[in-house]
Amino acid sequence: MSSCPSSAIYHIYDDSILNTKFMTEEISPFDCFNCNYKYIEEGDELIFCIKRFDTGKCIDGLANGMNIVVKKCLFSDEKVEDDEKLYKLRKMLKMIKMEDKIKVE
Amino acid sequence: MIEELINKSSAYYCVECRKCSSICPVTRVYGKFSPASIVERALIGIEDEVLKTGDIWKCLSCGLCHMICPSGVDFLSFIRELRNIARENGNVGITTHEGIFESMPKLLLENDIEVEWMKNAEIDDDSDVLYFAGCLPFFDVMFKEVGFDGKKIAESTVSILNKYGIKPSVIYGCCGHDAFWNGDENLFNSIVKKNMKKVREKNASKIIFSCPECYSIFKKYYPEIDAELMHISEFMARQEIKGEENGEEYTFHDSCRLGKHLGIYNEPRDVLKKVGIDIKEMEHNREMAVCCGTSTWMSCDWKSEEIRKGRIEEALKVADAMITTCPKCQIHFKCTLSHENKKLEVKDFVEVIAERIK
Repeated sequence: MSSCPSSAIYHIYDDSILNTKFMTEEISPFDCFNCNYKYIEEGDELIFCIKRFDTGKCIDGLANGMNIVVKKCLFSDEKVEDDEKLYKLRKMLKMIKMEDKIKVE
Repeated sequence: MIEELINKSSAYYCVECRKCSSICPVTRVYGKFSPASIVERALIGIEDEVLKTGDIWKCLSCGLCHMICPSGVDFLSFIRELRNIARENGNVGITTHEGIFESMPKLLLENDIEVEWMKNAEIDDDSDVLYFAGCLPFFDVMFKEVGFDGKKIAESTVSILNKYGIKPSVIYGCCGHDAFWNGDENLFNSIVKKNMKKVREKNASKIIFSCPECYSIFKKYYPEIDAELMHISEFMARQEIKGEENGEEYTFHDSCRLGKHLGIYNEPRDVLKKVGIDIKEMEHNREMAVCCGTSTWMSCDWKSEEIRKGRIEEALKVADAMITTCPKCQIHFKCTLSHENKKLEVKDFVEVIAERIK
């Protein structure tokens, strides 16, 4: 079990604990600052946790032909759709007809 | 490589008078930054110190140093080419807004911006006049909350042209200004290639710009285009203008690109005067105007804020409303004003003109 939402997602995709920091230090829920999970590349997908969503990285991924998946934070009740950064980016992508390249889960 | 750019920019003429540092707006708020010191370090061959630090990204490329230098050192091309080399070596600076505006142009190489904006103005895709509206649609989304209205700028520009019997065609997109000044030469060249193709397809005899950055980059750094390029203020200065005296007082903020980079100071002022606006000049105006504090979406931090606060104070001494031609200047001022307890209305030149011409 992971106490950090982002690292939890990391482990779900990795099936292993890669960061020894998590094994030695206690990380509180939503302690995003200390979590080193940023994103996961899986095939042609770039997977973000909404708490660590990086707009620039996301666009660079799109420019390199990747699809984007944004996941809800496991420890948060907030909807991914309510995130301001993501909302703005999707609006911009709509202007260039690329809005379908971002999937929200 | 640095030797080559020292020659190209005439940096070896530097006499270490430090006038550049005395006038630099960044140095004024952060004494550790000094344009003179960057040149001197390059001249004595401490390449690593120049290329690996963040100093080269703090420069606003406003051009005050270039203007005051008694030896004619072209600091603007010097810093830009240093950034080219630094970028190749992994020093890419710190972008604002998570690098969204640095990355977005990459997507625009393969995709075009499509917005239905001109409901209150008329366009014609086969027009002989082209309006290059730049990144306004993206800014409109990003900066709505500080009161920026990109659509209004684009619509106002087209409605001004309509009033003089012109229905222009409109292109939205990145001009490559930021890639150019941030030393991303590959991206800049790709953007130029795409824009040149689009502009040639339009076959317009006149290209109008409302954004000083787009205009300066097309005018100074694009290959030759078989069309007349002009800023909307230059277009307006040639027209017969019927405005009404209304006693309104505004101050005018010269954007670095339209002002120091292109030397256009009189046209916007003359046009504003003709529509009845009384311009109250700030202490630093025209070629001495101070930058809005952030350039090319890089390094927006407390230094930028301090520069902006100073400029806002200067404006408030003479008027309670400011006109600028640059959408980014407007965004930056409005951003600072949104969390400062100060009231200064900031408007774009075209908004003001469109509301007043008959």
